[in-house]
Amino acid sequence: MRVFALYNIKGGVGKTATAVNLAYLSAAAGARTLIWDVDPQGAASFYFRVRPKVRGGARKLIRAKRQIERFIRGTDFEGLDILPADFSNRNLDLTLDSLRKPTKRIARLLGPLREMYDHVYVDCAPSISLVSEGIFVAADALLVPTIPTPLSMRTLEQLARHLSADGPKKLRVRPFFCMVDRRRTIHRTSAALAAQSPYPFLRTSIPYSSVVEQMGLYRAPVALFARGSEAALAYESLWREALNEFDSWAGWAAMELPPDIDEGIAAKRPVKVRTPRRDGAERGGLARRAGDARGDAP
Amino acid sequence: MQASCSQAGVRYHEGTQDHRTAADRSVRRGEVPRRDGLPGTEWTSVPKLARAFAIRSEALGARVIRALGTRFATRREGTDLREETYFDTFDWRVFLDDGTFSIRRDGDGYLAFWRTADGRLRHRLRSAQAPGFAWDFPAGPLRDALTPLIDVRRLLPVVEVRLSGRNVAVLDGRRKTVVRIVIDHGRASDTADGGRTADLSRTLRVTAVRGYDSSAAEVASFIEEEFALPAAEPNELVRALQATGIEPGGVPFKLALRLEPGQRADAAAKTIHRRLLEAMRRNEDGLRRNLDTEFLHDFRVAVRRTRSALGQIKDVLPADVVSRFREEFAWLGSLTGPLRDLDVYLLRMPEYRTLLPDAGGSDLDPLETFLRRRQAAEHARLVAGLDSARYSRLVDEWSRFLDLPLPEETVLPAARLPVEQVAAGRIRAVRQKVVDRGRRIGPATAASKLHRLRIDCKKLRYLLEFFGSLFDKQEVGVLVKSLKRLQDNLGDFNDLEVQQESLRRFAAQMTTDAATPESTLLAMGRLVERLAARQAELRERFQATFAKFDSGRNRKRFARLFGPSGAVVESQP
Repeated sequence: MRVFALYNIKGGVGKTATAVNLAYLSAAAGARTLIWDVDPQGAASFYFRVRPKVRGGARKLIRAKRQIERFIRGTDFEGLDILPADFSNRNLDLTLDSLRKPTKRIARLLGPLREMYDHVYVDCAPSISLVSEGIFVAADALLVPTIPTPLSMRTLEQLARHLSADGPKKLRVRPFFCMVDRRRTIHRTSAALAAQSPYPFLRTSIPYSSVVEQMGLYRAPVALFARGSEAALAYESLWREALNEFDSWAGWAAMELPPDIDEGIAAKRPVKVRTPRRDGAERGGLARRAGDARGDAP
Repeated sequence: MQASCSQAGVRYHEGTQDHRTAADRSVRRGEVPRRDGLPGTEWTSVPKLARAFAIRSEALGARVIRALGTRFATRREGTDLREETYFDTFDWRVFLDDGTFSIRRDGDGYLAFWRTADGRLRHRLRSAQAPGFAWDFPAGPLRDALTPLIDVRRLLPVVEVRLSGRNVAVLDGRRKTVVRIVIDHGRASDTADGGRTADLSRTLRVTAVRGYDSSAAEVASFIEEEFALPAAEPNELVRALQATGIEPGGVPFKLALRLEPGQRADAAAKTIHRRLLEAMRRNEDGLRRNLDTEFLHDFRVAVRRTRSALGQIKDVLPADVVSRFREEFAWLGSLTGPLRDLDVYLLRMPEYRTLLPDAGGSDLDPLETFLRRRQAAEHARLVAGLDSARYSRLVDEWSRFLDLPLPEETVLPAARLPVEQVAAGRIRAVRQKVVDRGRRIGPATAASKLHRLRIDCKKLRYLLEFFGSLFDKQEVGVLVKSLKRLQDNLGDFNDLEVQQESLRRFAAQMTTDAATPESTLLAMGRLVERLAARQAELRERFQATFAKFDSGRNRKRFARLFGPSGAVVESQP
């Protein structure tokens, strides 16, 4: 199992979109993949249409140890599961704080998943906290989406200072440029910016693209509704680059992606949803709920 | 006939496990590894709802789908055609581990699925190559999990299904798929030559997306209540096997003998021999086709056990029959020896490479080429042997003899005795031989003495396996375990001895080939040194291992089960 954490101290840098797309590509290549939505906004959960609530909240999740599987949900894609966000993730810090060895908790929490998943992508919340520190301990690689501006470069330096003081020694950090707008001069000089970085940059940059913004509309990874677009190709290239570096032994990165990437699940078919006519006539769980906004509970 | 080679082979492989190093004994002969502790099994601990119903007609299927749409939010996902081929080893290791392994064509390559019996995905892989051996898969988690399960066996196609299905997704309030429904029907074909093709009747399957079991249960009970459909087998592989009449794991691969106490000894002996002959015949086809090395191995074990039974169950079958067939089965054993040798060395190549870490590994490439060429030649020779008149006469006459009715009158002293009495007597005698020999072995005793002890241990082991069902199962089990440990030590010791000899012999044969680089011969020399060092370690552990087998407790156990071995025991030092 390889754990990739998508993280930036700063928010709004394309973290969730990257996590969702990379996780989808891993699953499409055949890897058993989990995406862990740690961001309290629950954006990744939103993309996969999973109710962001974990019953019992963060406290229960952290204490659950072996039962973490119970909180996992399958997405609409085979081989891709999600550990949904929880609004009480906001309180995750406090929960961890009240436990012994708080920073090791998250690594231990992921322990039982070791045999179940090949790749875990963690969509982290911005800011530095006990939660992010716990994720630094658990992760094999920290992928840092970075907007090519001098200000973003400063947050990278902050991260470097923080990690060299408190971070785990083995953690490898790889920033990459994200939301790159070629019309803007400052973005065009990204190579010069990368040269000042405390960490080596991945070669791939993710362009600023309306396709990425449409993910929210389609609630799907870009490969599904905009295959062959610049953004889709960039995510694929980023995915291969990251896996070549951090999971080369398993050979995933060399894996051909299927020609029909989504095996007949969504995009190619007209979506026609039938909703029951007599809503709520029978007081059953799923039947009763059909049409309202709640998901399933364990 | 390559006298030295086959001699070494016969001596060295006559038993069930001799060729194996301690490490690869983790998968024990003939036993399917238990699933406990195998990577990936955690999947099975998560309950997953998978229900299936039989659907009489297409119209009924359409009615069910319509009805589902009135109760739940559904999305019709169209129809598709699916061709899937299920694979397993000859001895059904994947199936017996509660799994299924299948592939679907996908572009230029294949998509391989390893699932639990209830349909949960354990591993998935896209690959250019159809499945074969574990080591043919790309390095990664699937290979790591598959290797301990199938070991050196090849995954072979078992049954192929062609299904056309209608797919419906049941959605929750966020339009997320929580339950999948498939109604499909088609055909299943046995992939063997001339295998049967049969219809797979129309079935509706309800599967939960992970974490949505309760929703799937709700959908399933709705279908049940509204339509009162009969349940169907949810595992597609099981349905395909049933349709084509393939019996999964149907053949007992362990000896699994059930003898009746009080049975006539000659009747019991024939039962044992019949079972062993079946084992030989079962492996013959795979052996001819060279599918994997286990066919030959299991064939040889059956031959070896037959020879041992002929020699060890004394005064039960007519002497002329015994001597005639002992000779014939000895011939068969020697016919298979050289090929087994080469198989074993080829299987060991990866291990040899790791023993020579730096450049040494690739220096061994010419050795591998040499062995492969010889292996192909030996296989052809063995197939010719199996095609010979001598072999078919052996099989015909032996099975005819085994099917003859038992004689009412007989001059054979032990033939009409109750089998447990004959068995106990033989076990007592051979056990006595083992302890006599073992106790005489000291740190300076010649290797040939250890070899003899190894042969006697094997005879004892076979007797315990043949007759185990007549005595207290647990007690016999304890003895077998302790004996096995001793055999492992002796077997590994002997293995290493033979490996050194053979490597020297191969080197001599390869020297005559001008193309063999000197670095290869040097690497082989270093390999021999490493093996000698290992052998010395094993020798040091012998005394302790033997002492455990010959402990007071085990002595009492033997006496309790098979009667006291008489004054001889006490008079021994």
